[in-house]
Amino acid sequence: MTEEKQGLGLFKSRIAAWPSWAKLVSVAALLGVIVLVSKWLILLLLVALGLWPILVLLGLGILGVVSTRHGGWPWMKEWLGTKLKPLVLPALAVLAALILGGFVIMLTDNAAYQAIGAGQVGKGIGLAFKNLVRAYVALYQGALGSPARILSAIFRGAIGGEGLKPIMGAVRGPSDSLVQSVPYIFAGLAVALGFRSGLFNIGAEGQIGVGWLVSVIVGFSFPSLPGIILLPMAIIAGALAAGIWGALAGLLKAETGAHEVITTIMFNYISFRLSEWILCGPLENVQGTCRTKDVVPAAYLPKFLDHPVTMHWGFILALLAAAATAWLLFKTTWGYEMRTVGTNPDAARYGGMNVSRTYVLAMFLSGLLAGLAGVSQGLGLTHNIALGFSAGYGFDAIALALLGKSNPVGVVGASILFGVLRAGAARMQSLAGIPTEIVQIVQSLVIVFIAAPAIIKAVYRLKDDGDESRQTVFSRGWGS
Amino acid sequence: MRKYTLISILLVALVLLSGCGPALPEGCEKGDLKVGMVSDVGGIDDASFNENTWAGLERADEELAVCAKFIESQAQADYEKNITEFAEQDYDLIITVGFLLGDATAKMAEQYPDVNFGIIDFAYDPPIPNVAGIVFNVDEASFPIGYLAAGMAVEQDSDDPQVGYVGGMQIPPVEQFIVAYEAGVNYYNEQHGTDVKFKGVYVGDFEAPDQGKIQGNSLIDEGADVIMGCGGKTGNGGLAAAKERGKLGIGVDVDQYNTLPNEKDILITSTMKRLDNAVYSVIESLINDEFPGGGLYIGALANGGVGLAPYHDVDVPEDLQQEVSDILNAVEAGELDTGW
Repeated sequence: MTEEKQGLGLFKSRIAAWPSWAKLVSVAALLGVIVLVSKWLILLLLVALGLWPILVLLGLGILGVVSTRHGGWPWMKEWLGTKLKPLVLPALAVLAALILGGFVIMLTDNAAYQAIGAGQVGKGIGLAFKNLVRAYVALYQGALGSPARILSAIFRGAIGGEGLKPIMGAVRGPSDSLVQSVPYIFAGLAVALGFRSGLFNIGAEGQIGVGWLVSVIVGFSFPSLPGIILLPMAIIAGALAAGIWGALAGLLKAETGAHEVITTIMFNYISFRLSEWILCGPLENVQGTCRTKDVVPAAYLPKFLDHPVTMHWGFILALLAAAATAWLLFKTTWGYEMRTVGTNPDAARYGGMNVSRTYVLAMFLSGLLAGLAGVSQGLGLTHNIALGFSAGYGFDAIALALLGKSNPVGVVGASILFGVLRAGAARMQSLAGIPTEIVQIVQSLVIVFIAAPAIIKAVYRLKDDGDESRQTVFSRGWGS
Repeated sequence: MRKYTLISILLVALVLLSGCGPALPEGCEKGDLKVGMVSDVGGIDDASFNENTWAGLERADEELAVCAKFIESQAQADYEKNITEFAEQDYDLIITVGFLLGDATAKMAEQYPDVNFGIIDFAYDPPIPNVAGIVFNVDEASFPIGYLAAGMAVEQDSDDPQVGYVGGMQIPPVEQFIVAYEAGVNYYNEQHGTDVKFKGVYVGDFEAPDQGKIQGNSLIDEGADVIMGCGGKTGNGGLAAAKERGKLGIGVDVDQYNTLPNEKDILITSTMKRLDNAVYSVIESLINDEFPGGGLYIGALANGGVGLAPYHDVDVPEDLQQEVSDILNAVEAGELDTGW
């Protein structure tokens, strides 16, 4: 280990010695190569996601081999313990939610009630259990694909000469999960950034709509521009518009003291009703459809692979946004000011910080992130905006920010979990006839269990480390 | 230690879960025709469009060798994904409900040329070879009902008989009703030498019962004797006004005697648009290798796609009933112009 680190250090210092232009060129070259092979990288990622149980077992095997050099099981246990510790609680919360959700599925099974009503209690319970297993298998496969199918698809593609097509079909689940998580990540980051600054941004839903609408308008208004200009322009326009929409609430708070909870809720209504008018009125493309024109293909967020894999660059943008948010919050002066204002605005003011400016800035950035959720949906998936676009991402985002403890990494994790559940819901409904609402119940239970770690700790009899409660970031509420 | 045990159990369970695959959807048998329905954001229990369509799929599931499933869309971005879900599971026919899915259906139909699609209330121009538009000649039912309404208005108030309508948005599917109603009223005047007036308003909204009620009341103030609701909840508001003022009403889309418990006793009949029958017929046509891909399935009087609801509590004179049923036959035979 130590040798490796020295080697790495040497490597780093050598790079540091390069002239800055050389660094720039090499970074650009690296990025270029990544973009060129991005299709294959994403395919690899999706296959890895689909095969995760096998990869985990493989990893454990490798670890087992390595551990023989370090003293066997005790070392491995410790290593695993440190790596997995932060994951234990969420994993158990998900498990508990799935078990409770399973009871709900069994209790709402009509076929089972009919059998029980006819006096066949055993058969009824058996039926309910069978349907539960079917539902969860469908949920899993809808969200993460079937490892067996992926393996056979790889085999058929590589040896059977059928090319990529079977693999595409097999990794549709993982792809759907990641695609579904994109708006969740952006919106979750938006709310989390607000929380860190002591602001409760309930207006993410409206900001998503504004970002979506503006990016689509830009996307179809300049059909002659090349994609390399039009796409960034549409993204930036959507993000800026949503940012300004959000900043209005920040400005109201800074200038008049109007509480952002109230103003952002009201701005939601304003943007919903305005967009209804715009979509069924001036911007309606075909009468009676309440839908805008499609953006030109140059403004599409490119997809990595062919149908039915819908993975688009929005996912990469979302990860970059998470990294940028983390950097902003924890590595910059602005971020420090935001966090200080969030912890104690009076102390921040006393310390010479401009609290009003920080509120406006935080709401601007929060709106901007939420707007990107709409932009990624509009330019990545629907390519237009229609009545009924709102899907509650902005409200789920509040839960995601809490779930992720307002930490960008946590938000990404929580969003992917929600994406997985949501992607599996359609398969569950079509195969087992279980309504998608069950997934919402599971999502809600996950949030409840994570918000109240004491329940999980009591149920599974984990030791209380006493450090959980301190991490919970809570927005300063009314009258702050 | 305990937590590692738990986690490993969870892992093993997941590996096992992901290994075994469900071959067929629940309640389906091998060889069944697989039919999927993708709802719009209204959901499957909207007491309207989606619910009525699903009723047709359910009937096909029970009576034919068909396995019917649905997916409810939660957002605009879900439409393509949900259609893909069915198409990738090798469904034979995918029914998409309403104009909101027009875009997504066209894109996916191109992606899956071997899958058949049916879309409610939508016709593509140019047509797509594997998509059947499911549309309705509601004017065939509206024309005789306009005649009936005129006759009832004369019954009520022979000095100044008037028929009024409360419409939703002024879009072709709604205008189709109104135009034929008016033609029916005029035909009554021709036949009987009367002067029944026909007037009404488009409120511009399908979800405004209060607006509909206000407009219904002002039509009654002007002398309307029969109110025809035509436009979702807005039209129902017009019927509510008729009920309050002791006038008669005519329902729309389904037999509203069953869906409007408060106004049911003033309903003469309803102009029915049988989404369930239409969907059932389309499924049947696919089984018989007569699927109207690239064309239209037209719900008409002849195939039960549109029709009159039965008379319920309002007494309709025998001779008027006879005249209406004669007109129905004439329209079905193409001998009368409905004005649409």
